Amino acid sequence: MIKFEHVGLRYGIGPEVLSDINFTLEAGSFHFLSGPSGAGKSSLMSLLYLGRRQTRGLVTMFGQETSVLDREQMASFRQRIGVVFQDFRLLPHMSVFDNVALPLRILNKNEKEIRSNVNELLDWVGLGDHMRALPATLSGGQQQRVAIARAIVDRPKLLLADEPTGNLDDEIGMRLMNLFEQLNRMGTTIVIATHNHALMDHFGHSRLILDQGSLQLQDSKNWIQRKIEGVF
Amino acid sequence: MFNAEDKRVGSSDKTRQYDLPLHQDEGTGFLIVLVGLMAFLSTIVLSFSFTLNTVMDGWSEGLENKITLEIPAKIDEDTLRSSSELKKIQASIIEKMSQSDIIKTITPVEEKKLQTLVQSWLGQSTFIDDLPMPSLISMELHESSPEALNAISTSLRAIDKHTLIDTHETWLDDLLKLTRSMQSGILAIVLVIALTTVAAIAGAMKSQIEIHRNDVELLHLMGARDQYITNQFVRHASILSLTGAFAGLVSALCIMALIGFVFKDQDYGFLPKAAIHWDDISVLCLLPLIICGISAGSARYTVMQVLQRMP
Ligand SMILES: Nc1ncnc2c1ncn2[C@@H]1O[C@H](COP(=O)(O)OP(=O)(O)OP(=O)(O)O)[C@@H](O)[C@H]1O
Ligand SMILES: [Mg+2]
Repeated sequence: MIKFEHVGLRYGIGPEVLSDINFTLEAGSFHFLSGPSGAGKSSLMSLLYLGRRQTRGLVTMFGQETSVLDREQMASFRQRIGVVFQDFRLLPHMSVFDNVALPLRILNKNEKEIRSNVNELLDWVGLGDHMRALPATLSGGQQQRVAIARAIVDRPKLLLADEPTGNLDDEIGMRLMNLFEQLNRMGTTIVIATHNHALMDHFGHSRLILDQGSLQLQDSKNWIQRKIEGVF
Repeated sequence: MFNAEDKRVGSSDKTRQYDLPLHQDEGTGFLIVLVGLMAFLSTIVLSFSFTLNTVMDGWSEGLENKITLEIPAKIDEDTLRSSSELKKIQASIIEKMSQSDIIKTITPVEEKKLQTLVQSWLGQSTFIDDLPMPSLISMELHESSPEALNAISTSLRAIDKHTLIDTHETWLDDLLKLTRSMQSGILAIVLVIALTTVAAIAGAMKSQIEIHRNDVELLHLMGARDQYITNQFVRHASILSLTGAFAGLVSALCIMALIGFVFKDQDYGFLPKAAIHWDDISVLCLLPLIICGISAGSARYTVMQVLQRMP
């Protein structure tokens, strides 16, 4: 589903923040992306959600090398990807409802369908009482849940979440992780960038670990193995 | 599960037109005023052009088949004919000509009327009485063909060889030329107005994209097509230019109605009744739609152009 070959990224004339990244993500898989602050997690995410072009190497998504996509294909690829940005990027002039409804409106879904989907989802993430609120009037954790609801409302094939549980208390964080698990079981490929080791340990999915721009892959089996070896 | 208000928000969103708060941007009011001004100017200028057309039609119609005979008082440097002499020639010309069947009507121009005509050029002064005034005869022909004019000039020569025929053609031609060049000037003004509107809208759209760059980028990342985003800008541009143009049109019409009212009793003699026809006004009423179309086109082109350069 996603394949990176010798991918590098630099901003302007600066140094490469990602260098020689190689990995393959199978459709329907679930990954954590971790690494120290400044390691390039958000940068790698931006390549994944087609927000930026790599400065070298090949990125293949949904069976297509992305550098040859025209604008039309680019739009339809992006429609299959849901993103929770590290800084949420909610539209400040729109109510919570409208923010979450936006991806459906872009897909030109009918209003009735939009209303029922958005209402249900917002209720599920515990924001049923704040539909009319503007994002600025919400707490950080509430905004994060709006961002998550917006990312998953149109059932994306690929869900990318940058620190999605950073501002959430354990209970709600767990609940959202369970939601991600559920989506994953329904076929969505998921990549979650996080620092939270407890979370990664609890769910035990394979990890992509970035350090100073290069990547190592640890699959979940190895991790369990090492954990077992460590115990004994 | 949801209170009524939430439901209302959900459903009222059908009329929600923008993902971007374009109408809240600072420049919007200014742009409405600008488009209004453009509509105002083009309404005035076009009405002027329509009026000019009416006046021109009046002139050519009023002078069609009409000629004036001038029996000059001054024949050469030394010879001045007396007014009684002129009257005699005038009388005999009229007598002779009324028998001709190419002439529809023939009337002498009263001396008094001639004096007032001259007064309007030279002002009121006693020396007018001393001017060697010619005698004039105005005639209407059934058809002012060259043959008819020839026939008239032949019979005139038999009575008085100094009498001149004025077919009004030269000065009518000059007037027509003048009005035609005024029309081209008006066309140029309208063109400048249209271009200004196009440029103003294009500039405004560019700066609005810049203001909302982050949000536009976000829409792109969510998979919005250029067309989807462009439509919002186009809708915005259309609404504001329709508003401005309508206001401009209405104020221009009001002002013209006022002017018409103030000067309605004034009589400009040689000017045929200068008035705008109803069908001209209905053309003017299309102006907001035309301006709206121009703005929408300009917005669509500009926004598409800018969006296509975005990642
Ligand atoms: N828009 C940008 N322009 C220039 N440099 C950038 C830009 N975004 C990120 N960088 C640089 O790229 C490097 C990686 O940043 P990135 O945001 O990807 O790290 P991160 O792993 O997400 O960090 P964090 O855990 O703090 O979110 C940093 O050195 C940063 O300074
Ligand atoms: Mg980051």
